[in-house]
Amino acid sequence: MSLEDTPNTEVVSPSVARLRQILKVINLGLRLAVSAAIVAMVTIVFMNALLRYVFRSGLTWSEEAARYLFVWVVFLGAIVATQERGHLAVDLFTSRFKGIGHRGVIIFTNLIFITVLGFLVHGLWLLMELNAGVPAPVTGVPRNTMYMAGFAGSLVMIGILIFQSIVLGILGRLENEPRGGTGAIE
Amino acid sequence: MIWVFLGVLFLFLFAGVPVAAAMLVAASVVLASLGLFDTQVLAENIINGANNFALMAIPFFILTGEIMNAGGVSRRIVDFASAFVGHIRGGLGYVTVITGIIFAGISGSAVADTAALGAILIPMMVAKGYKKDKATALVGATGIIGTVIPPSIPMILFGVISGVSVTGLFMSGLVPGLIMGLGLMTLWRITTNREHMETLPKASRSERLSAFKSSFWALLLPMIIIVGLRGGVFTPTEAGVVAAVYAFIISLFYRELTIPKVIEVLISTAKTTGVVLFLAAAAMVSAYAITIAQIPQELSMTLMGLTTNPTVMMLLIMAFLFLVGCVMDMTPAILIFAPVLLPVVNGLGIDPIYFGVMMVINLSVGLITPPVGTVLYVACGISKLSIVQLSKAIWPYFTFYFGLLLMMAIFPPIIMVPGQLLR
Repeated sequence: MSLEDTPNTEVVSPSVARLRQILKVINLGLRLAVSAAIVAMVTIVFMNALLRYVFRSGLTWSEEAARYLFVWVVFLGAIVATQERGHLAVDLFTSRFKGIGHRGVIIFTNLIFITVLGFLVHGLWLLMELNAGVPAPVTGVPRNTMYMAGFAGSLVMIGILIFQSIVLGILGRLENEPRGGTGAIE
Repeated sequence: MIWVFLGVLFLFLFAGVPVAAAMLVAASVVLASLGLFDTQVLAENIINGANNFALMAIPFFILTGEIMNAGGVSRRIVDFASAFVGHIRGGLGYVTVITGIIFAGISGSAVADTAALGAILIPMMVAKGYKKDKATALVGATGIIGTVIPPSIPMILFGVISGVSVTGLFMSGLVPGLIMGLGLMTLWRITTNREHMETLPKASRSERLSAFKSSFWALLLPMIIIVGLRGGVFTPTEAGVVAAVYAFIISLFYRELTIPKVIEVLISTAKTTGVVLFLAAAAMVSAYAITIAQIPQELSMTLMGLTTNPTVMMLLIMAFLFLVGCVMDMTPAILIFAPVLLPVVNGLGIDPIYFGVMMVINLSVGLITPPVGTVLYVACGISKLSIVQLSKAIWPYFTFYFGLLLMMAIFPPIIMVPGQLLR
């Protein structure tokens, strides 16, 4: 659900307006953060390839650092995709439903998604307890930096899915439904 | 156990649950029925799924494709092809296929290639009096070469999830991709033989030279990728990063890449990466579950009971995947079925690289097959045709691909011989 697309034609109270403003900033921040992570990933892997090819010596920490960034990119990207309802799904049968049926599908599919994300949050919490204070082998960054991406990402996705279930499913404000649409995947 | 896994998976898939979530549910049910369900196992596997250097090639190639389109690289490649074959009768059709092959050598996505080709070439062809449905059909049929000629995102997914060399898959996709392109050009000539179409004015020698000069650096990119991989200079992931940086640098020279465009490109890359790799990471969890439950062995036993002839098995599997491709997107189809089918294939001595290339071509053709054909929808979106109109126009190409697949299933050397020479 892209919160920034909420139409502004209706009269809203100042507190709702402020909330929307804050959400807008958070959304922009999220997108800039994930863009920055991609740029960092590209830079690190490219520098390493260049150094290895030109000077025959690479950066030992580069692969690990890039992988940790990558895990963050995956989960932050998954948040963006969840907001825009862009996760791949087979809508061959469910696309026939309109109105109340469509709302039912949204609530049902979101509940399933929330359940499995709940499993992940639980499992990652246990893993983070287990790995507290354990550094990554090369960079020495806490190993939990990686688990944190999945933990935070799953929690935020759960929040978004609950929000969408309420706004789209229960309140039925389908005019706000994001168009989803996936980019250059296949 | 295989029926438990597939039953649960498809039940939730057809109920409209996102594929990644459905895979996690199916994995959980399989593990639970073995008494092994543990959220830590799910968590560990999904993180390890994403924590993979080889998969990083995917965002890099997505980024390359996005930069190619935003930075004016695509446009120059079209101009280059137009200058050389635009004046021939039906020339823009050949321009489409040649451009498509070059795009395929830069990006790894059929959808991205179709979108790029369609946005530029469909309006051009319509303006010159080409029939809109035929033009759009050709663009769609050309777009799917994008996943066959290296780089290829589905091949990276196949390679990583089934432990097959991605470079090997890439090299083996090159010749089949070129055969697809040549076939399309031949068909284009046959099907448009009696039509009235305007041609572009013949470019002079100096115009050709300047078109070549302005696209030279863009044309060099597919060469760099292929030669670099073939020579073992870099891994597929490094090829991806080199391609992205290279595309970025030449776009700077073309002066078409503004800062807002760059940010747009990055955000779009992030979103696509989130979709594909969250799904891939979830698939690693279900791959773990099916391994623990020995589902591939179970399937092997069942299928070997039917036949032990590799060719017959190949035809059976291909027919099955063809049906899968009709109702499912390519990414989930590969992630679900590659780990299940590969042990069967290995058991019969079928080369896994050959199988991977066949699977990718098969499911790519699924992208232009209704009802679920992503490329078909993208092409329709650009030309504003209905799916029915486009499906009617695309059938000659579809039939050709079907025949080609059949031939390659019966004569594996079509893929294997050039693949082994290039590997």
